[in-house]
Amino acid sequence: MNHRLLDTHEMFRQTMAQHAQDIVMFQPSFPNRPTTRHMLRKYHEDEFLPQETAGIPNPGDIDNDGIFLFSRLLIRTLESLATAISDAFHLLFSGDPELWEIVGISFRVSCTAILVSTPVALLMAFVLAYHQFPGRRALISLFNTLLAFPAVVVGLVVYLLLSSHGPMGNWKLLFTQTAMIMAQSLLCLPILISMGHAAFQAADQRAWETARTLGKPVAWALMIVIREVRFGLLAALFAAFGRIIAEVGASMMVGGNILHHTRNIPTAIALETSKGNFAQGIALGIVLIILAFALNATLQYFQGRGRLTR
Amino acid sequence: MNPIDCLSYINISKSWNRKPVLADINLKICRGQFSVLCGENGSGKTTLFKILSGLLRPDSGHVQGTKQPTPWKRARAMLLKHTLYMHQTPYMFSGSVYRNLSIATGNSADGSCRKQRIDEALDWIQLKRLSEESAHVLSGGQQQRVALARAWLKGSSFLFLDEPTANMDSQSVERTLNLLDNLKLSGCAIMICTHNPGIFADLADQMLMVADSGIRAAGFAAPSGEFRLNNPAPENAVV
Repeated sequence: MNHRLLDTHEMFRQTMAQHAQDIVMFQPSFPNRPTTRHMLRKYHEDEFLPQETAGIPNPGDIDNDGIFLFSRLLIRTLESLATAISDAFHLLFSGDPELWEIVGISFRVSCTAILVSTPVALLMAFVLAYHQFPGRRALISLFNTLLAFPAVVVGLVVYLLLSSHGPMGNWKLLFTQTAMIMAQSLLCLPILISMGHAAFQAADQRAWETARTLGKPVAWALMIVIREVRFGLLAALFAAFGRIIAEVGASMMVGGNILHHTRNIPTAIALETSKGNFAQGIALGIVLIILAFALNATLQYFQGRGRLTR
Repeated sequence: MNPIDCLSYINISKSWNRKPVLADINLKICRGQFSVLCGENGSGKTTLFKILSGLLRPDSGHVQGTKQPTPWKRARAMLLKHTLYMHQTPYMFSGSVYRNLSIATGNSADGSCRKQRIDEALDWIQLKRLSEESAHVLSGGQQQRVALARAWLKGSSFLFLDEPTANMDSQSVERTLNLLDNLKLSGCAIMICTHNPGIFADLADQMLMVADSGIRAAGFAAPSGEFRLNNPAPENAVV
């Protein structure tokens, strides 16, 4: 527990130091409130702008100072973004152990959450699609509503359950990967159930009836129907995975963003951005984008194959 | 699979939205028997077939196989094991014809035995050349034959076929009739629902009619190869 506390303390100290530096940096050097013209003159006088802009006319000669300032700032922003992206790629391909550890934690937690919730969700989706019982429509509406449930609220619920005074406090799971898995499982459950239910309902009822009348037991018949609607279920799976791998609120609340333990990609991006360490944030963002692209490309590939073989 | 010679359905009733579709149906089906079921659209033929094959739960009723009459709930497993229902447009699972047939083979059959049985089935329905084709691209008649091959591979003793010759050309009808004749000779009880009973006059032993939520014997096959109608038909008779 000590190392977690130390780490949290270190994180807090770093963040505060960064904020203090930012405050000093942005203190106005003018006695009065600085105007656009003042700022431009200051940039010009201090040679704050890069040398290559020397050929540009004196800011005071330009009628519209605002546009000039905006273009300068845009150039600076793009320059810093390019530097950050270049640093990010360097971090990615130099095999920075801390960065790849964060990626590994993120994948381990989210994949386990998907593996835990998928069987439950598929079963519920199937029951909702193929069985009539009182309250079925209310349940479908509930799960559709839960699609819009904020991640932080899920985090809060799990936090309350796992906190020392909560009903599951004795398990001492708060600020562990297990807590993150619990929160992420709860988050992806509504997506899997809702989209799974839609996929099952779109399936032909004859698939289930044929499997059953061919003498297959319920579990086997269910597997056969799952295979028939695999593209819809795959889409549900990817959507759910996309939500939990990029989710920051619940992971931050129940995981605590502890380095080497519960720091995953989104919480690390949030932290690095607050520290001004954009390169690592962008590098992690690139990993997420590549992942999203890979998942979508895989889905497209399988769906394309499915259509061709029909 | 323990052979069951006869299946008796006792007082089967079913309603949809409180409207009775089937009321106190009593039916006995024995192996080797070929029955043709007629009735208007919406008279409850498909509902009856799904109940008889264990796919749909009736509101009330008992089923008797080899033992004493048992409530439908307990008889369901027995029905799913020994009967087979074939949809009017049979469902083809995604994948090849071979895969569709392999689903129907028994769970315990080992690899080589299973392959041999599937090959026999493909020979029987004359679709061996299309075994690796996707089942979805087959014509309606070919899909019907694959479905019959699945029934044969499952080894069910009681087959309930929902309009197996609907929308077929005469050649396909002839081929289907031959397959059904083979199944009948192998000892299967076959019940067919159709709007064109004349096609099955050579094969059928009896004709039944579903009307007014009941079932009654409507006719029998005459030696001339045609159905002779009962007149007047007894109402709701035990067949």
